[in-house]
Amino acid sequence: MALSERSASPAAGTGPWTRAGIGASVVLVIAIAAACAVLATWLAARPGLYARIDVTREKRNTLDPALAEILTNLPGQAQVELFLRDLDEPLTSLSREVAARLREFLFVASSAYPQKLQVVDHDLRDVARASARMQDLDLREANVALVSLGERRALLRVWGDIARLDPGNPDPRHYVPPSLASFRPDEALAVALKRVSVGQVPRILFATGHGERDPRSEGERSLGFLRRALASDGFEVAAWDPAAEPAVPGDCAVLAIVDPEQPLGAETCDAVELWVRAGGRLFAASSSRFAAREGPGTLADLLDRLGIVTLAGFVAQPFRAPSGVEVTGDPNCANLVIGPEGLDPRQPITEGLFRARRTLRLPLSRAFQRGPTERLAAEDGVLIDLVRAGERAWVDLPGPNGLCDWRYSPGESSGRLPLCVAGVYRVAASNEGDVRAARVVALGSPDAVSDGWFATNADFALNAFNWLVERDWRVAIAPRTDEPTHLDVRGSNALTTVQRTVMYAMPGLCAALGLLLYWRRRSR
Amino acid sequence: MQRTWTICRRELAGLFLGPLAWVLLCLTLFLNGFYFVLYLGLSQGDVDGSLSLALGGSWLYWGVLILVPPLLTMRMISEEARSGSLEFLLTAPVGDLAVVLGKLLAATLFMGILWTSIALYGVLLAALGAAPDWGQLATALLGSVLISAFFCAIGLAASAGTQTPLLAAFLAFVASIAVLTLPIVPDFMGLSRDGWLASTLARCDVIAQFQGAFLRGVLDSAHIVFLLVWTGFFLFLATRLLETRRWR
Repeated sequence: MALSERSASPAAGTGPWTRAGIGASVVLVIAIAAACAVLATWLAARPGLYARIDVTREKRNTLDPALAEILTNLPGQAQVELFLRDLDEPLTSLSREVAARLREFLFVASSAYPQKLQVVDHDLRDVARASARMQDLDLREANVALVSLGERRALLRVWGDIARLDPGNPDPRHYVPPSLASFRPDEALAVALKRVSVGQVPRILFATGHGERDPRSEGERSLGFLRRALASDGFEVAAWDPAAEPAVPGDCAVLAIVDPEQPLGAETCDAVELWVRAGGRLFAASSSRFAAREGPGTLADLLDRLGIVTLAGFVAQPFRAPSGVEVTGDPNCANLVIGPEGLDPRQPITEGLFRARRTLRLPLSRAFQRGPTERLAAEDGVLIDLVRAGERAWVDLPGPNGLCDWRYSPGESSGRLPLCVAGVYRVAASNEGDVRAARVVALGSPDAVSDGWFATNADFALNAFNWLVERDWRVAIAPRTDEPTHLDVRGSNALTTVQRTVMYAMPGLCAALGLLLYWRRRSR
Repeated sequence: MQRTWTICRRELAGLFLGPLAWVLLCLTLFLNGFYFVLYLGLSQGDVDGSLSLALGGSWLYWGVLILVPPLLTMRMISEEARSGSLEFLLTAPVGDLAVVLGKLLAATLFMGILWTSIALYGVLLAALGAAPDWGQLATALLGSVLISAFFCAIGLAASAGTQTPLLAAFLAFVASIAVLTLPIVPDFMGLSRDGWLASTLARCDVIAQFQGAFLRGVLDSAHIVFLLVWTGFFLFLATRLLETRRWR
């Protein structure tokens, strides 16, 4: 290179290679800085290293302490999967409001406890993907929130468990629009989280081998819907055949005997009675076809031993035809509709239903009465009538031809007959000293928990099984009452004042200041 | 620190002695005021909802954040480099970091004045008998200032990287849009939302962080650290780019 050319080149130390080296070191330093920034950001989000402070007036972003404690003590991360869909008119706007409030609540909960709660909101407008997921979860209804922790699940129905609807009055002369009667997502979530996190998965065994209703099939008289609902609610459902295994299995949390067509047999009754008196939990739905009240080895005999006597015949009550005439002598008299006045207001199984003014349907139901005291002494336990028929109900006995005439005859029991009874039996203390209580639910109508009527009675059935395994937690959380602040935009000139100030005065003041500054600079 | 403050005052004076700052202020105030009144009327006077809209819940807010910081910062370094005054500044007994920090403070203070004027809506509403949730308003204001500092830092880094103010503004604008749209990249790529890329980018979702915490009245240390750390990173980047000028 000539001297003149060399003198025109960059000075020594800043040649192209030097610049490349400096550039590379700068890039390296920047990359290291970026890595440090990523690390710092990651560290700042670690549990225990970050703080979250709610500075709102109403503490809208702070969970109730009861729910917060449950979340804190969760053994892992729970997941809430939402499957929400708008209701048809005229409930569309109401359902959207509930959905928005539910999403907001779950956002607050998951933001406060990101390591403990994850929310997945499935868009039901994406039919293919949402349907596939619902199929995986064996869900057949929308407007549910599925809470899961590991393999355990609890299903919350938006309309029922989380929110309650007041249908209003559709009569045009006295029209009252539908409204939201209550909205308690925190309570519902707290109970669901307890179900999926506390204790082991309860195992329900359905007795088979005597013509009982089958939980594995679906149909009007089957128990397929009940089985699916129990599985969604965190139960394990299986079958027990006494012929194969005479004693009730040790891992059985609840034994369900639903409408056996044949006698269970003395041996089976002895085994079940022994198991119950040792602290077992029994759900028994009386036979709708096996008419005999007495007889050894029948379900009625088994309940008799536990102080619950099954009356012969079926409970009937008059019903009002569309013409307004009161009807008897019709088989529909046996399709009992029990309103809230027929439900026990304090027992956990029916308390929520009573508060929500719910109705149960108990077709072809038997009635119960308390047995003689030698069967159940007062100190041994207590029986509670969960569901009672109306004042004008009676037990219709079959005639000589074996059929019921559905008309009241003298001598037939009448009045507020118990149709479902819950019993708690004191059990002798074990060697370890712990005292358990046996629990029994006797239901007069097996159809009430069958697929044909399950939609109406689902909550009642699930409450019964949850009560039997003592999962009837009551988490009392006061509902939030925060009302957003509103400016009176109708009755006063407030909106006009705001408009003039923010749209004209403030920008105008800004412009005036700028012009003033400009003029002062010009005049100097 | 004194030098940083001196540079900050100088930049602020330069901003407010020129027409750009006043035009931006007037336009932003007018547009925000318009939408604020519109929503206030539509929502039957929902005070907190309307203020939330004005301070982070609307497209206008994010539009201001994308457009205004690049316009503010585009000339701070690149124009000075082009005019030759940057050499005087760099040869003065002021560190590069102090220079960049001073300019960042000035831009952030300007944005703070902008957001505070919107927060004054709350004072007006309180005078009319509908006081807002002051805690929520304060966190929204704090979040707005922090996010503005973040975008101003991006603008300064772009300004330090070029001698053309318009190019600096364009680069800052593109970078701001990239930051805001990062979390939706996995959706465009058809990746699962449960994958590591999606979950990593979800942590960088500035809009979600702001609307999920600051706008709701929650002070979340993780979000504050995120904004401060990445503002610091772009500040560092701007300082390094400024240093490289000595070698060109």
